[in-house]
Amino acid sequence: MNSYFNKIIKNNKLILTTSLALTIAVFCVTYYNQRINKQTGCPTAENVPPVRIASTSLASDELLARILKEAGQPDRLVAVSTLADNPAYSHLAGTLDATRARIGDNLESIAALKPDLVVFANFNRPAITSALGRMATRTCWLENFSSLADIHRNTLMLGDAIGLPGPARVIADHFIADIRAAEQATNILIAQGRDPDEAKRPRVLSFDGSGTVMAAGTTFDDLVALSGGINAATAAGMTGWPRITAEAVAGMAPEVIVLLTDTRTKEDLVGSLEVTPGWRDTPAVKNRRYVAPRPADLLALSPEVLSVIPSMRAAFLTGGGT
Amino acid sequence: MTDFGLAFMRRRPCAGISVRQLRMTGRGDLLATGFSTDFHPAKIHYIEAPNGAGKSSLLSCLAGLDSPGSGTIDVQGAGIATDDPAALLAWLPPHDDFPLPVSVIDVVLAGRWRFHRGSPAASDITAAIDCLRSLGIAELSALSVDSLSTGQRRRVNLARVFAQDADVLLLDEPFSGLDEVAKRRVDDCLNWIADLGRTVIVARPR
Amino acid sequence: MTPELPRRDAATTWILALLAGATFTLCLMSGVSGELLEFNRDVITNFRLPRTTLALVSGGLLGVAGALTQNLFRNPLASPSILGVEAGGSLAVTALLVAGAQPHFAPAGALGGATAALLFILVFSRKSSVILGGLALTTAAGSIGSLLLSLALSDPGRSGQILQWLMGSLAGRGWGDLGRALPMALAGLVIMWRAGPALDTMLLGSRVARTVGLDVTRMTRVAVASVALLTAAAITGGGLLPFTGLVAPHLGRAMTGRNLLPIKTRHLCVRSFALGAMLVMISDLIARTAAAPRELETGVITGVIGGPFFLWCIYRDQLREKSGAIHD
Repeated sequence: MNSYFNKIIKNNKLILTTSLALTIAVFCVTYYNQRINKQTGCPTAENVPPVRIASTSLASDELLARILKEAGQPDRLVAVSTLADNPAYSHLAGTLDATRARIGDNLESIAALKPDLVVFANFNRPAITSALGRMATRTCWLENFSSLADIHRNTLMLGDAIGLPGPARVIADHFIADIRAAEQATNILIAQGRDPDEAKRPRVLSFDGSGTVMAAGTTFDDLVALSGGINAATAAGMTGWPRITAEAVAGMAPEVIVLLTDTRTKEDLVGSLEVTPGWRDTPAVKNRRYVAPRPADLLALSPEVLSVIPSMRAAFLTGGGT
Repeated sequence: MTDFGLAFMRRRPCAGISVRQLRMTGRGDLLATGFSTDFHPAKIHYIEAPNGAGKSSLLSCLAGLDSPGSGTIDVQGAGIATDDPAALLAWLPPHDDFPLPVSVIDVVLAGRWRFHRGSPAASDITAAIDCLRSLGIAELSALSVDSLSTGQRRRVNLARVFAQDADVLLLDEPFSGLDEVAKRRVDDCLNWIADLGRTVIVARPR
Repeated sequence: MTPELPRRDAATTWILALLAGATFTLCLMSGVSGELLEFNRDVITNFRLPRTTLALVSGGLLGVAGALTQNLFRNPLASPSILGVEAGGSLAVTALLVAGAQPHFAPAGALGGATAALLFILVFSRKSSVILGGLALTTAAGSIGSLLLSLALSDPGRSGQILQWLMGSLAGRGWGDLGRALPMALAGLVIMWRAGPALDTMLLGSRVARTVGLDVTRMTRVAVASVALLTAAAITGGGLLPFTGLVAPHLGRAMTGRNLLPIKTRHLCVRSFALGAMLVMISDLIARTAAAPRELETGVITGVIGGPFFLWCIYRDQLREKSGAIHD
């Protein structure tokens, strides 16, 4: 055995190949370990619900805050994401006191708090998930954020995970009720329309200044449908957040454009639309039919998202929008 | 003749070199039209030519560092193992080039690489110091080469060549940068070494 | 009677090793979650121990790689990135992340890219100069990487991940990362140790080295292989950490007393390991405490510290040259 080892040490090529082989072996082992140990799902709280809850994404920040407020236990949320303080995106901005920890990148402070439950989203950076996951007693993974139904489901899952299924159900039922009401209101408005042969539902596209649009499989898609419009990107068969070319835009010919004002002002975006080829020739730009809902609402992954519907509906169906 | 203390060099039959029609284009007049000569053991050969004539190219060809365009270089052997070129040829480059600091003793010990392969024995160290002493610079052994003068550096490099104990010594301008005393010293050493049987080839400017 | 060789400066090497150990302990005890030197066991074992160990190893490996590169190319301004290994690793990581792989596969990408670069350089060095090969690789990898990055621009999450990797972040790294880097690190170190004396001889120049009997072509490739292995291990474990491979050996070489011999390659490597380790550990400490709760990238800090420090080293070298050396 010893002489074999010596032989390897003496020959450089052997050292090289052995090390490469060993490295590949270690890689396989560690990745396999990660696969089988990967925690998924969001288990229901057993006998003792978690006392100290940490949330790593804005989605779960807002949902958890809401459920806990409903149950009168807001202090159980000991850590939220840094985005929660950003008023451009968060409905919690200004309502959380500074003593509550923020999960930015620095994880040691979070670990020192010893949370019982950490709620992750599947888009978290692996630095956060691997480090916190190692030391959390319980974890809950939120995986789907692509529709209003997902928001509903996430609300119920979180309620189960923190031991407050009742309040969560209250919120979820409200959510469903609000959706139904919105649907009804829209249908009434459409039925009231003048000529039944005319296409009542306008074609709609989102614009954020970069040429990326929101297509099927986003909450935006559901919102557009509820507000009485047709998402032109979905109609063209796209999903997710694709980047489209000027020609594609011209082909889609949207009649109303929903402006995403989280990084640029409305005036800035309109100005950009009026000069960008493809976009500038669309009916929406020519007729100046825009709607700019609050980005915190439009991009929310919690029930607040429904608050954009009245303004969008007005823009789509009653010829409004400036 | 004075003993120069190069005890590790023994008198023995050594190889000589025969050059026939050696030609290299663009390297000066010496090699332009086929250079032929014989270098005999136990002799010092001086190649005197103006700068740019191709002395360095000739020596580096003989050392096996450059390939000639055409011609042959043959070893006229005295039973020498020609598969170890380091035992056959030792080369002093025309310039001393040490961009990173190295100690003098390490430079000279490097000449004995073929003996110790990285782990110098006492005999190697003794030999190295003997070479330095023979050139009169033994007291410099603990210094770094970049703190030396040009002449001292030349002699350090020369000591390395001596330490290699090869059959043929190819010395490219070994006297450059040396004062008269040092030149005489080197000259005496070369005579001594040739007397031990080695083939010494010296290039110097006219 | 064995003549005495003049004393080599082993004391400094030992002191540096001890300093590295002290820095390691200091970094383990410092962090955001408490006052300096507060002892919190969970935090230390779960977060700081793996991360600081990784910082030590990555920095050390890069230091050694730098020492080898500088001795191999006889240039105190050389750094291991000229071989193109880092560029290859970066390109592979960028490509993987742009193609949609999960970020925890980034180390695999780094390894794959670095290994491909290593093999390319080894093959290339048979025919042509290693530096040219490295330059070609770095340029090509850089351009293709930029192209891929531009494709990912519309996805801020993804491009953010790529940029973070390119900037060299040790956040969230654990024992798995260390384990993945270890075989190649050990291989590189073993090869380095064995090649040390030959590299000392090659300091005389490749032509002279050839005439004293050293197989220069082969030793060059061995040294290149060692540098590439060490660099590949470092970026697999820790990501890109610029300037470490440049500053550590430069400093290690300068730390020799006037009356002592210049150090040999093996000792220089040990010193560079210690210095590189210290640089990265301290940078990591700054990265995770300076702007809490946000975290900076360790690679950025090594650049911020290493860059100006290196300029100062050069300035000081030039001063010394003007006043000290004897010239004819």
